[in-house]
Amino acid sequence: MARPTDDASPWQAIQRNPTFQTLVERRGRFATRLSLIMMALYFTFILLIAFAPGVLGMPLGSGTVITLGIPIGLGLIVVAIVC
Amino acid sequence: MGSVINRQRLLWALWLVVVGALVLTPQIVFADAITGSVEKRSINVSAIVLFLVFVAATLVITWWASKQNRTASDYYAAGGKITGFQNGLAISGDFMSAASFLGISALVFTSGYDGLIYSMGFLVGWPIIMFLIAERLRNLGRYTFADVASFRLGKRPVRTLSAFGSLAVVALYLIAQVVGAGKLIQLLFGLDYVIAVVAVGVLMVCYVLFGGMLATTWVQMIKAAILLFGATFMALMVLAHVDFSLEGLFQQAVDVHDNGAAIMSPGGLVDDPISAISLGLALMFGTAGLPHILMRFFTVSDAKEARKSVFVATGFIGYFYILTFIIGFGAIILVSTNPTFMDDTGAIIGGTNMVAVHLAEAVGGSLFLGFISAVAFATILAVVAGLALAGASAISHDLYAGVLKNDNADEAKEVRISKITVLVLGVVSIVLGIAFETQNVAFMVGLAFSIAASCNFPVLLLSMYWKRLTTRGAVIGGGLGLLTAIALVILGPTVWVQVFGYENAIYPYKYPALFSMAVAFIGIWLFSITDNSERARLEREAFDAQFVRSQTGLGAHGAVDH
Repeated sequence: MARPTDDASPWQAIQRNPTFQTLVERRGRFATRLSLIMMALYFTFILLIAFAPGVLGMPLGSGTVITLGIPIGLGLIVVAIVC
Repeated sequence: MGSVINRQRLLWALWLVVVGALVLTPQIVFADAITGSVEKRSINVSAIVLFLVFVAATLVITWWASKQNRTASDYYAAGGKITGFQNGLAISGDFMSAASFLGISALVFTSGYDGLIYSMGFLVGWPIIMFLIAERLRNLGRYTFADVASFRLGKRPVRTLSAFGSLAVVALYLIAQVVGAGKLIQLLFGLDYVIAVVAVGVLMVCYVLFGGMLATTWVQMIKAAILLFGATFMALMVLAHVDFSLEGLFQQAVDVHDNGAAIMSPGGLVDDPISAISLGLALMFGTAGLPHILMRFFTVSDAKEARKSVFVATGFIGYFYILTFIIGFGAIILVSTNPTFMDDTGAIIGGTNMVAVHLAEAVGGSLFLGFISAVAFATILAVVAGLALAGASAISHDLYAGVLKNDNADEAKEVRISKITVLVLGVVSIVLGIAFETQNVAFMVGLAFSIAASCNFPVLLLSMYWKRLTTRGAVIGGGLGLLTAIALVILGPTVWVQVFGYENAIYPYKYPALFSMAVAFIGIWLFSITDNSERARLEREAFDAQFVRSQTGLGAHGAVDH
């Protein structure tokens, strides 16, 4: 990529450049989507803890001590890594 | 378009923190993991031998690094030659401190599932925040975050403020680490407090003085790798003990734990919401304002690698948290049932923060105990080296070259001043480390994070995202945030009651971040929008150029650009 020259407003020229606008827009959309997914999952988790802790404390089946919260919690860590 | 998205992203980040903070238990402060009085143990030979091996290896690397270092860029930023993966490993190393390793496994040990929630609150928030700033930071800055904050603002005032913010964070964090190191080493190695403090100070100076950022990064990477190896081994041994059945692990833990099946579900988490939120804010935003972590983003070649380092770091930190969860449950099974780890009253020797260390002995014998002890020491060394380099850069790059010499300093002289500062920092941290041996230093880490969150972070973030920010707003708002954080900590229970001995704290909460961050942001906003000077107009105009560079890296200081 060439360095911008010192004409009157090189930055504005770049800002008006459709490629630059696409870049900013795409990057923004990507970050937005990523944050949205993460937030949705995390909010659900926190709200569960706050208002229905029993749900996470529910055993996965009869005869097991593993609660629903374990796969959900560990799953969220994995999602955070993958995202 | 861009600014709308940016504002939305900011809002989400803010929401996340407020809600994330609700799940943090106020009594769990990593700083507390290594404070308080400790008993000296008998000399642990394998720990000392293994630690000496680590020191020898890192000194060889420092010697190698000293051969590579020629320019200021080599010294401050490892010449920009660190890869995204390496940098991610080093950043994750900054997170996997001795205190977080011992503290989180202790939290899982005492309350089970809540320990997982705690790690998650942190893990989910931090990458998004770093994701917002990492690329722009790399594109705009050179060696320190003050480069970025002062990019389009008045260089001298903003650099001065950022330098003081950095120095305050570094000084407090450094003293807390050194005192913690002395106590931890007393406990793990059976060495004298003074010897431990002197060893930490001398090695820290060696790494930074001779090896600069290159050696500092390698020390952090090696430590992260051996800590991950040690924790993986412990988790595997725990799983082997239960025949690799998670069901068996949880069943046995429920059987022996005092709280029984309650450890498998969320418990009572919030007993003081204001303190909890404040702590959460300080941890998340403070981390994004710690000078020694921000500095790491200048060691990679470009914004792409900077972004990659965030992903790699998140991966390692997440993996590490999963390991600590297994280790905590393993400790319930193997440590709480073993009388050799209890004192006469039935309490865990050295406190619950030592359960991970006891578990190391339970699963790997005394040799592995030595290994984990050596890793804990190495962890502290790696962190203090980064801190010393960040503090020295604030003096040499920001104050000397930026403010005193108006960015026209002789490079060699700038580096020389930095190295002298490192020496001074080493001496000061040894002297203060010894002076503070019997003091309660727990408040220092909290204060360091609060200052980072209330001064460094707001100025840095808004300088990149908010067009209308002006020098006046940044300096007054950031300064107010800094002063509010310090004042509230002094007036709060950790200093007013515990250090000064007054009956009641004037400010009732342990952590100031909720209020001091609000003061900083409101201050910056107010004094920026009311700033109608000619300079403010030019600064706002310069935002477009900065925005283009922050997005594209055009004109950024690259690996070959010096």
